[in-house]
Amino acid sequence: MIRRNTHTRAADRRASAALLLFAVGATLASTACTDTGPRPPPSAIKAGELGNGGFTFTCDDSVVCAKYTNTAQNFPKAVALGSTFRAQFVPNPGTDVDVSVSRTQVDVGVDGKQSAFSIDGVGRTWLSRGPEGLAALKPGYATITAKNSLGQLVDYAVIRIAEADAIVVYDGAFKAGSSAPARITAINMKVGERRTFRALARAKNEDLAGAVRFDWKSLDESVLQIESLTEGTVTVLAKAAGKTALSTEGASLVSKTDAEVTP
Amino acid sequence: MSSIVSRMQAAFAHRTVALAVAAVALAAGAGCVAEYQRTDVDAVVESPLGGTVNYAAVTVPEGMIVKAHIAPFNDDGNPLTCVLSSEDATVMDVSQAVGDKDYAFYGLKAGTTRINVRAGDSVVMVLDAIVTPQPPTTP
Repeated sequence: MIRRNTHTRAADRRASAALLLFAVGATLASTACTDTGPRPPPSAIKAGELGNGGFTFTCDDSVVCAKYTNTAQNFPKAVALGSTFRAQFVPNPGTDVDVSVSRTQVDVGVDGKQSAFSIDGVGRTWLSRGPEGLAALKPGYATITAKNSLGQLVDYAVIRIAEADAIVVYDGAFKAGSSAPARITAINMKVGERRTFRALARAKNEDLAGAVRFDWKSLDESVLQIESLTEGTVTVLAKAAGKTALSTEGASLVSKTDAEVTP
Repeated sequence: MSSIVSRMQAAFAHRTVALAVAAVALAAGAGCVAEYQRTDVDAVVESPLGGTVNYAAVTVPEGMIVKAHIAPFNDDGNPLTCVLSSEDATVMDVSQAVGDKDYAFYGLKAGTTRINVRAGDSVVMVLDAIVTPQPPTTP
């Protein structure tokens, strides 16, 4: 009788311990699933090939990626050769991927933020990883990988790298949306007026995502002066009446936009 | 004389029995040591540009990844621990993917090499590894 009671108490303790472990496990799993923040809209996520989650895209181009937030509402089909961008991995809710990642060993993502997943490319032929994120090195198809803190491949996605055939200069106040920014073919300004411009790379009439470093020059600074260049946006000041051109160089291309300043 | 003969016969009989017992014991012992039997290759996920893994070869386009589940078993039907390695990791590399015995093959440079599948101390399978050039892009 005494032995049976002892056995029953031991069984009760084991059951209690199991329940406690289950509760702790469920809490940890729940934490792992929710600490990635709000899930982006489906269009912003490119599904990984292994079905463990998807990738989001951020860059500073103000066209594919929204101004200020730099996030893309639609994962782009192609990035410009020579551009930089960042990607983050969003695991599918409820997958083992969430809980298999060590919660004590976190990697620093390409965006500098701590992330449970490290983002990189396959090899160094098409993509390289640097302080500005991933850089597109060669036209073709590049694979973006997400690995967990154990170095295991969690998922991957492929993006096309295209060589630009045109530079499009557009209004710096343009807000990313469903329509492409209107190309500015000529600049008309009054003396004393200030305007901002940006540029993007385009291939066969397709806007290419990714931040391209453009150099801006006024062919006559006495007419049109470049005041500042901040994060891809150039500010120009119409100084005196006259005709000149604004030169935009980047993505191995040069574009010239005629400019006229009137009194 | 007859007693000597009978003692020799008895000794011979003893030796024969002992050898028979040892042979049976060895045979039984050998039966207890499970040996490598087979390797399953399945759950292949091709890259968007193709590529595949089978029992003879793994083919991956340059810059792409192909994933497969590769699981060796012993003749008791139990899974064996498995390690994959590339003979030339500059052409094709291989690493663990999330999931038991899931492996990712990375096409790094067009060319050929071999992937060794090791179970325990033995190489149980050698796969020809081929990295194919990317098709020309149509931007």
